[in-house]
Amino acid sequence: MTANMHLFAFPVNLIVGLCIVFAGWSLRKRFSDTYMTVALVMMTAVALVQGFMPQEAGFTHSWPFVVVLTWFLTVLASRLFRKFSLAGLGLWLALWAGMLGSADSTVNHVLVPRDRYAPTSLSFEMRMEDFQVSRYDTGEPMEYRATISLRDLSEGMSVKAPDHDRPGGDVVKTLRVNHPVRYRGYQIYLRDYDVSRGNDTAYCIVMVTRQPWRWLVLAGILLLFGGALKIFIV
Amino acid sequence: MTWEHLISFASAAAVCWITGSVLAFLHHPKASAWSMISYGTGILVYASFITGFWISLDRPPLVTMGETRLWYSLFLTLAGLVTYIRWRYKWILSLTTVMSLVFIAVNILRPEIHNRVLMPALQSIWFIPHVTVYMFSYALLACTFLLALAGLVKPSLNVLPAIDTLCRAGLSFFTAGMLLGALWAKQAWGDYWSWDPKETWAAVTWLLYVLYFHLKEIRPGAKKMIFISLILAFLSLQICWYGLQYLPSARGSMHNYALNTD
Repeated sequence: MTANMHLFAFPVNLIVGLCIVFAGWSLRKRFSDTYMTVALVMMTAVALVQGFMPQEAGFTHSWPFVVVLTWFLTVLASRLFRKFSLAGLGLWLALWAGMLGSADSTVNHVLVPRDRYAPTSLSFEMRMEDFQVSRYDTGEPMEYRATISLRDLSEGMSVKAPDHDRPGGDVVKTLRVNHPVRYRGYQIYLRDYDVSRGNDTAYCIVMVTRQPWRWLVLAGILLLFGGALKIFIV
Repeated sequence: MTWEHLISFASAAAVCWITGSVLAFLHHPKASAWSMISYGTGILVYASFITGFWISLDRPPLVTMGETRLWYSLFLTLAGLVTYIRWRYKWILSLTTVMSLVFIAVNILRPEIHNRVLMPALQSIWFIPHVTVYMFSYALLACTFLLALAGLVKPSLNVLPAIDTLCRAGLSFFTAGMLLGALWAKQAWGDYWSWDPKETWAAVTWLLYVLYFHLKEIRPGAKKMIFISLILAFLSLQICWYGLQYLPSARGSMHNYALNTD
């Protein structure tokens, strides 16, 4: 039942996406507003199924969900060609780019050891320089702060050359919760550390994501924001 | 100011709100003006408690369910007053008063005492706008629920214009809350949307309110169906807000902050 996302890696996802636009354009006269209402009911139904299922079941990656979402996007596209709305376009773009972009997105959890670079499957390596937990008077954590060095491996020679031979080759960044770091098209998030050792933790765990389509999703979100504002004012 | 002061402020506010609700039914020419003044005073009294509570807490009182209920009661009475001023439904003030007092009573009977700690996950510029915008939309949408119930019970009432205006505002704010949440989620969890139970139920609720607008457009005569769509949407909103705690499929929700602070 699970849709194999790798099948849709670029450029297949772009082709599928253009097909949705084309289908929406060709069917704009055939589809009435009733189609839109029915598509909304179908979308609500699959969202409800997801709402009652444990998240681990991964229903949103299954074929039934993907098919309904694709149908919804097609009907919404046809409606937008017939009757434009800013909120509709924003929703369409965010869902379209979110669904298709997920095929090109990667998520890696990486253990970053203190004071040494460890090999990763990514095009760069990380090393933890420092880790600080600051606490409230009550003992609860107030802030986690990890300082990490990043080293790009894609330049080839940097793999072999020792650190001191490459002055300025490393980039030092500070990671905090809610404050991810951007590096060479990746976003890096602080996820975990050795709680039992606190500031002396020997490692931290970071999540490294790559979402090449995220700008389109963001554009969709901003358009939908504008659409919501328009509905409120007009 | 602490939870212990809630009962005195809430009682004073309740007196103002109930007086305002009763005045709305009187036929005296000045009655509606006094009703608005009394009701507005109640809102100010209640708002002054939240302000004092916020100051003494040293962090925004938006973390726990109990704290969000405070805002809900505030915004609900505010939405009721605005609806009364704009459309003069004399019964709306009583309904919003009862509903807000229920939520205040829950807070008095089951106070959730919390310290000043604001965990790192919630230290974000998105936190306050995300939650207050949502609470405001919940209150507006609660008004549409009350109006829809009234419309179902008494079909002769013309509640649709008020429902429409409140729903437009409510859904706009709801959308804004959801999008602020998406922007925050990208910063905190790495993706704009990850079908977390809270997100999923927000999506169900959002779709149902959008469905109301579409039903209204294609079947303007089917009032009963329109009212029922609003009632279903409001039920879904309750699951999204606090019903998730009782839903087995939502145990692992990343939105469970209260569990960690207890």
